[in-house]
Amino acid sequence: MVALNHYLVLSAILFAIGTAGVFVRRNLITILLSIEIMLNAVNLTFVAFGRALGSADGQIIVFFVMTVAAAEAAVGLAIVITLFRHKESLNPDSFTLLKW
Amino acid sequence: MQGWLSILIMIALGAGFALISVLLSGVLGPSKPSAEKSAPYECGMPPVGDARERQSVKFYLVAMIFLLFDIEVAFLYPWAMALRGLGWNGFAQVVLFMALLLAGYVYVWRKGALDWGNEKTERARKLRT
Amino acid sequence: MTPGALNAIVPMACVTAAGIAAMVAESFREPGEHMPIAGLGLVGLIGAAISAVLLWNHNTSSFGLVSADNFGLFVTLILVCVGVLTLAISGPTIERERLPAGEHYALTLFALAGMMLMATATDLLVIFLALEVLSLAVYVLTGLRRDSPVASEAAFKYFLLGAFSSAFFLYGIAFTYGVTGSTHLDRIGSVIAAGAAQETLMQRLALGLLLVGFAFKVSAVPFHMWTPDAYEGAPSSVTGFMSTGVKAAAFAAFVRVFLSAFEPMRADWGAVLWVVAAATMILGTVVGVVQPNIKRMLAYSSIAHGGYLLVALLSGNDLGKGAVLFYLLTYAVTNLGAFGVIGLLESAGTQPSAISHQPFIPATGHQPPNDQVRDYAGLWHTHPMLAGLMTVFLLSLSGFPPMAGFIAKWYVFTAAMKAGYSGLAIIGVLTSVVSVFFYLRVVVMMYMTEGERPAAFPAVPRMAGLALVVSAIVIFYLGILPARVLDWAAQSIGTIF
Repeated sequence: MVALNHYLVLSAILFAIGTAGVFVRRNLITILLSIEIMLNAVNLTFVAFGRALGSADGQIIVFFVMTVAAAEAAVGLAIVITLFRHKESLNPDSFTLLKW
Repeated sequence: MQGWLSILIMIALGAGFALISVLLSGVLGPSKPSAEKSAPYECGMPPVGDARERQSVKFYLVAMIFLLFDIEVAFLYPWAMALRGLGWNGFAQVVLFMALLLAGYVYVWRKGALDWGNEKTERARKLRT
Repeated sequence: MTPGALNAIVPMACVTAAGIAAMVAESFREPGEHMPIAGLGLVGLIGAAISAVLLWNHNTSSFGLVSADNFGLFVTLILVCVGVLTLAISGPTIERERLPAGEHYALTLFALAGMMLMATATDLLVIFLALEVLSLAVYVLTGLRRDSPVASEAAFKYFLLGAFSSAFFLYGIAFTYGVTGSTHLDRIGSVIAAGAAQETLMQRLALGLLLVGFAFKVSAVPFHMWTPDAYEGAPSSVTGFMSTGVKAAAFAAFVRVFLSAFEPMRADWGAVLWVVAAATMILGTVVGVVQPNIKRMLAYSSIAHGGYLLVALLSGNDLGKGAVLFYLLTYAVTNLGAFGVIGLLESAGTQPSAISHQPFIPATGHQPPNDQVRDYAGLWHTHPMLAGLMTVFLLSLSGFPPMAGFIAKWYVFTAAMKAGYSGLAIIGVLTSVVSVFFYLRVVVMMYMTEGERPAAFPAVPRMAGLALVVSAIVIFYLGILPARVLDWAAQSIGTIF
């Protein structure tokens, strides 16, 4: 039997992977993907809690989070494209116009 | 094990539908193959070639727009499941939701983001400036 | 559904409708055609203001998710002020940068609708959705100058850290939901209050993650890194808008969540917030002193002001809650005024027509954007009116009597003293004194230094000039006769806590 804690640990691991990805990966698209992983880890948490609590709320919330994630991905991609057009690079280290 | 039977039926139905569609179109449809048609992706980019080949940015644009309009279905399915319970009130809300999306669609269309050719993109470029 | 069930969302519905109208109008605009799109926005904002005034004291609620109590309505009215001022001062920036006007106004209005929703929402999920609505619009506004590498970079940094922090915020909501079985603030509050004796680890985790999410949005140290970059890269009118509007909305939700639902856990978050507030005030002030770019300087000033607001929030007494509202109002009027002047002066010296302006090719013909502190040298001689207005705004930001900023800070520090946070009050006063130095640096530049640039300032558009003068008058009014507005602020906090 898979208990609530298993789901929570799994989603915590996924969230940690996403967080690490944002810091470690050196490609803007991969960083966007890492953020998506974080959001989906949260979705898993919501569904697990919803099931444990015996209510459908958790799953309904996931619908909204998915919508937000889609909108976020669209805006993120658009910004990455404009950025790429200036520098022809997707490496975050090459964007250093702004500091301090 | 009782619960799995329905899933088996579902799998059989799904696979059966795909098989029958392919078979029927093979049997009934006219067959005039050409190089272009037998490419794995009839539209879009050539499937074999340098992986670092640059793709038109239009693909990204279409992908973004698809992403946004695709997700609306996530809200339509639950509504369809609860159609009778929600009644006209629910219907009105979905119509409002669709109207908002339609406004976005009109904007995307008028801005020329859906055009693949060159003639309208010129117009869009003028609009932008 | 009863007829009155939707009343509480009328203000944001007005703004949303105006935003959609602006978007559709823009899509039907022929190239080069001028459309009164800003007027559309103004109509929507006036509608929002009227409905907010009519809803005052009625304490209506829609769907159990949005509650038009006086607190939310007060913030809604602040946001209407922010919106009207932004529409009025963004004209010159749009002209000069050749921003797409329709998109600029539509996104501004969508962001405002999100802010209003955030200020009135009583459910964590709705707060999250509102946060995303406003954030996504503001990310795009930041990167609206697509031909500028700086703007794109700023937009991406802002987007990346914003999306990252949203994930944390959402994770916090998930744990809150798991602990309390609800996302509704009332339910959360009662569940936490009932079990306040034994706090679980998960409850602390939920609190911590929500705190991180809010700290990002109000740019509190150590989550402030995006602020200066985003503020510098965005067009001036947008910077003014996001520094005031986002702050107002985020603090409204912050106050609502932490002083109602999570009030029973004050023992946990109080100490953390103490450190965060102190660090925010100190870092914002100290780093602000050395900034050569005026927009970056004001970004650090905005971080410091966020610190003062955190002090008011932490005080948590009636005085403190009222002070949050009053501070947000004065900060909105003052900072938008300052960015309005910056936007006007940026227009100086750049001819709007001669630049080659193909999309996506960095316009090399751009003159330097005129946003260094030294560019303000001798402004008093070339444009005394703007120099005078800028002086008023900067002095009010530094908290000089008899400007509004003084009263606002006075109330914050009094609240902190009464709540027993005298340490924070002392830090606040000290940093305010230091901050006078960097605001005065600009003032001294304007009056005492000769500018090397010939007087090439363009005529000030009537709308923008009017908006700036009205802001200055409001600053003096709030500074000299604050009693009435303070009464309103006190009334409005009474309705929710």
